[in-house]
Amino acid sequence: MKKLLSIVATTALITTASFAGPNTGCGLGNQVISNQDSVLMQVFAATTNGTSGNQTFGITSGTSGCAKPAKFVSNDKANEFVAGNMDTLALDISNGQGEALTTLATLLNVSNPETFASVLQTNFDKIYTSSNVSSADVIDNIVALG
Amino acid sequence: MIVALKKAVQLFFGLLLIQTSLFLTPLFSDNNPSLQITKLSKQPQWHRLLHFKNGKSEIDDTRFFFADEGKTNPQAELQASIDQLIADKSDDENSTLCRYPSRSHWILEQIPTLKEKIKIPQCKALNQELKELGAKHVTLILASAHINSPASAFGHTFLRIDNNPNTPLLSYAVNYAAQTTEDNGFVYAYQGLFGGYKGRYSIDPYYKKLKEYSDLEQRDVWEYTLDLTQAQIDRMVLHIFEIRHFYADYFFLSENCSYNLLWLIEVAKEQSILIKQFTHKAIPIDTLRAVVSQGLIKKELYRPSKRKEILALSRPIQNNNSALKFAQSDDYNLSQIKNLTKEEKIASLELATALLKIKRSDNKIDKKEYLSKFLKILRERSKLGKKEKESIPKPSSPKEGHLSSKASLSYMSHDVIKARAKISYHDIYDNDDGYISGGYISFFDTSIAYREGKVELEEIDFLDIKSYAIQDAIFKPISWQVAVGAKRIFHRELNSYLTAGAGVTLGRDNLYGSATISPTIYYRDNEEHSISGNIGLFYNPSKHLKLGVTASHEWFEEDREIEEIEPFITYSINQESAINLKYEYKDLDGEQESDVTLSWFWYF
Repeated sequence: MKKLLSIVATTALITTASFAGPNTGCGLGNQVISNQDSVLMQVFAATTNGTSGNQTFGITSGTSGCAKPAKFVSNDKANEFVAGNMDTLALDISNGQGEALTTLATLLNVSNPETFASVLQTNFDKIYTSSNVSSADVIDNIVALG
Repeated sequence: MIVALKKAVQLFFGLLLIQTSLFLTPLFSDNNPSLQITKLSKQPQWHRLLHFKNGKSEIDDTRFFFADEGKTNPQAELQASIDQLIADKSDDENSTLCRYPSRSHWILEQIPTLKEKIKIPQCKALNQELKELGAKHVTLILASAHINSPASAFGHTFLRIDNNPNTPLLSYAVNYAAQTTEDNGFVYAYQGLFGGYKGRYSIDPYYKKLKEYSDLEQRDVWEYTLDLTQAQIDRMVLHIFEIRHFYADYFFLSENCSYNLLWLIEVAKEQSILIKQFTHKAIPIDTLRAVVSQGLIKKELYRPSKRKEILALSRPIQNNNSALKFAQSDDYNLSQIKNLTKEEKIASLELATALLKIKRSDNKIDKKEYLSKFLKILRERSKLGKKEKESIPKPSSPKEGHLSSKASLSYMSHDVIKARAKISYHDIYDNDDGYISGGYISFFDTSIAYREGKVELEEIDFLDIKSYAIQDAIFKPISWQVAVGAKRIFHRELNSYLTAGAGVTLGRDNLYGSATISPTIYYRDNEEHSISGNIGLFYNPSKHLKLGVTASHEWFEEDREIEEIEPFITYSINQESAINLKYEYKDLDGEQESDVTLSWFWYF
């Protein structure tokens, strides 16, 4: 019994949380890998209402560091948004609805968001041509549909 | 005569004093500037801008203050700020006005003539940032519990600054947090409790925050739009842009993430009383209720967690084996679903994507494999058109649950009277409405008993967590429990104890049963060990009623045993009070006893 408990305690101590930094990239699949918190960390986090992390002040005005689309250069905010939400946007486009898609429609000043969503859905293949597609490609491909 | 003389002398000295100060600081058209400064420095808003409470500022960064004694002396700080504004002739981003826009703005508002004495810099970068933010609405966001750890039910709050409420993904999140990369739980807890970390405000794109706290997507999120005017929002934003440069020591229990948001809200809405409501602890839902109590909430919006969305997705195919199998498979063989109806295909593909994303964020597959599968499923899904989203019922709002501290008074059969109190938060006898079902935390729970003319300490639980995470068709979280404290076993002296256990919980939000096994170490003069099997069944049919029964069998070394069965019923009258009736049957190694207890719960 004692042994079991001490094992529990040690495991909790040595299972340290690995900090995965925010993944920035211009392509698909830049999901953040979640921390595998130890039970002990969970207990303390639960009781102490703690959050941690490196604090930043990240108000940007359209410099995502990703390549800019060739055909559509004037809308920094849209470029940045697409670069930052590649996976969610792909998901929304394939579903024909969703918050990321609505947001993109607003950013692009689309007059009829319903039609926009349905056109994008039908042309999913033309937008997401491969898993290496970059955010600039995605915007170019979307604009090409219009 | 003497009185008149005294008055004349006073008047003379008074005039002299005014003249002297006019001479020293010939700033204002006002007749008595030092008096004006004294008066201004007493204004509550000046104290708010300095985060001044109980005789000192909560900001611990010395660079925040211009006066040496600025932390404790608002008047000196005001005078020094004015002096600094006048003295600073620079015109770049680090000039006083650009770096301290909140206090500068307020001072210039109060003393408009000061504008003539100072050089107003352009603050290009600041203005650019303000423009980018374009603050028009402020939303208080409460992220409740994490999927596999309902015990994180204390939750987290932050603010979202919106330009357009219809596109929150373009908004910015204002967060207050401790700066640390500590991963040792003990160090983390110690430092956090005793101010060992520096707390800071940050602003980030909201979508980035969602990604960073990837678990946030596993939480229910409640959004509360604050009822603020544009002028109040502007004031809040300027304050954020000033306070962002400086730190305050972070205290998990009191000066924490939730509490520090209240400063921002109070600075915005001067009439609100928020900070004063909190002295020793500030729990996110309590801070939310404080904001509610000041009439600051305009609108409430519920965003279900990813987990609930996923369960909703699985609903149309819950009895369809091939559809479920496809969604949970590794190779996503499309022939598995080719004979399904369109609706079933859609549900199956959408569920598959959601589960695939979880696999990736748990690092169970690599990026390359994830991407090829992700696109394969999405391509297939894109051929099937749009489908109405499954509705997800809205649970009871966190602002409507019981308050988080509790005291209780009980009368037990055999003429025993018990009093009990705890700092927080939610235990098995409390109504679950507004809280996470199955997430129980008691913190510093103390109980004393009066029996046979004597008052005795019955029990202290420093910490007692029961995380009864309900398993469902898709998710299979492990339930766990930990407790540390001191209690009496076999009617003896107080024994300190430590217990930890694990098990399974099945059911749904308002009706669930748990089974756990928990080993315990007791210690008084020597160590004693036990292992206990525990079961519990809980039913929460309404915001007024909760019923339950718990039973356990605990085996000690030397073949001694304790058996307990305890059914209970709690009737909640409102957020502040409830009545609880319970029956306890105990078999202490062959010696039986039973008790009926009637308790009054008072939540505060």
